[in-house]
Amino acid sequence: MAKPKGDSFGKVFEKFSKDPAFLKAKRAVNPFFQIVENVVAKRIELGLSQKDLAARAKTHQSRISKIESGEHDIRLSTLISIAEALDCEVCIQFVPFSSGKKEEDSQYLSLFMKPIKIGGTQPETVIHGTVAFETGN
Amino acid sequence: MTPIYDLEFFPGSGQKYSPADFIEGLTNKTEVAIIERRLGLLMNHPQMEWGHYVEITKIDENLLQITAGSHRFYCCVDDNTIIVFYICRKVSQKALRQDLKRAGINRDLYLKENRNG
Repeated sequence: MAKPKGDSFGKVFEKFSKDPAFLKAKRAVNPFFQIVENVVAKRIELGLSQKDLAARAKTHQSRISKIESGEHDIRLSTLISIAEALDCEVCIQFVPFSSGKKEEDSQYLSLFMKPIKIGGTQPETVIHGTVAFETGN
Repeated sequence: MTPIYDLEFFPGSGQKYSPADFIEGLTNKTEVAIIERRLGLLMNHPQMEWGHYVEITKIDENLLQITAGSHRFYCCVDDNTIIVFYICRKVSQKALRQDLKRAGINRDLYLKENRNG
């Protein structure tokens, strides 16, 4: 069945792809959503509700909810507590942008949540999250 | 990550209550980036997992209300395509009747054109 023509996702956001203000905003927003995906994925994997995770991290469910909304400016110390509650540790790494990529023209501070090594056995799963910072320009 | 779903804004820009026009009219680029990332999240995850990331209210058989952060999205999933009918800012806990109405108008238009297409 032929579908009526609307505007595709790509077409709408392509219009912003050369707007420096949008690219800067995107760099600032992406890490929050990467944290969302990491926290939610790990929480679900462990079979935890937001309330369970909040209890483990000694915080409130409402804070977990805000973090998982992707629009909460989470403190690094809070993120570390949450990672700990998810049996993970946080690893930070600076990763330069690849030149020529249209949406990336400065540098990242990359942040990873990785399962805590217990009893000498390193789990294979590594959860990745990224926090972006602009460097100078 | 390869998206599971395509996404289309219906009706297209220039039409009444077009979700594409809503996005293009935003002056706050952070808001645009959040919407792009939020919709990307839906595109990347199966519908059954959306509830982990957003609040979903089933308005009727062909219309979902997705509340996330500062926005509400009205959409449906047609085969492997998410059709977004309407986007608005979340101005209160309860969805405004006018937003539901506008989303319904666009959804009805989509169904009508689809049946005739």
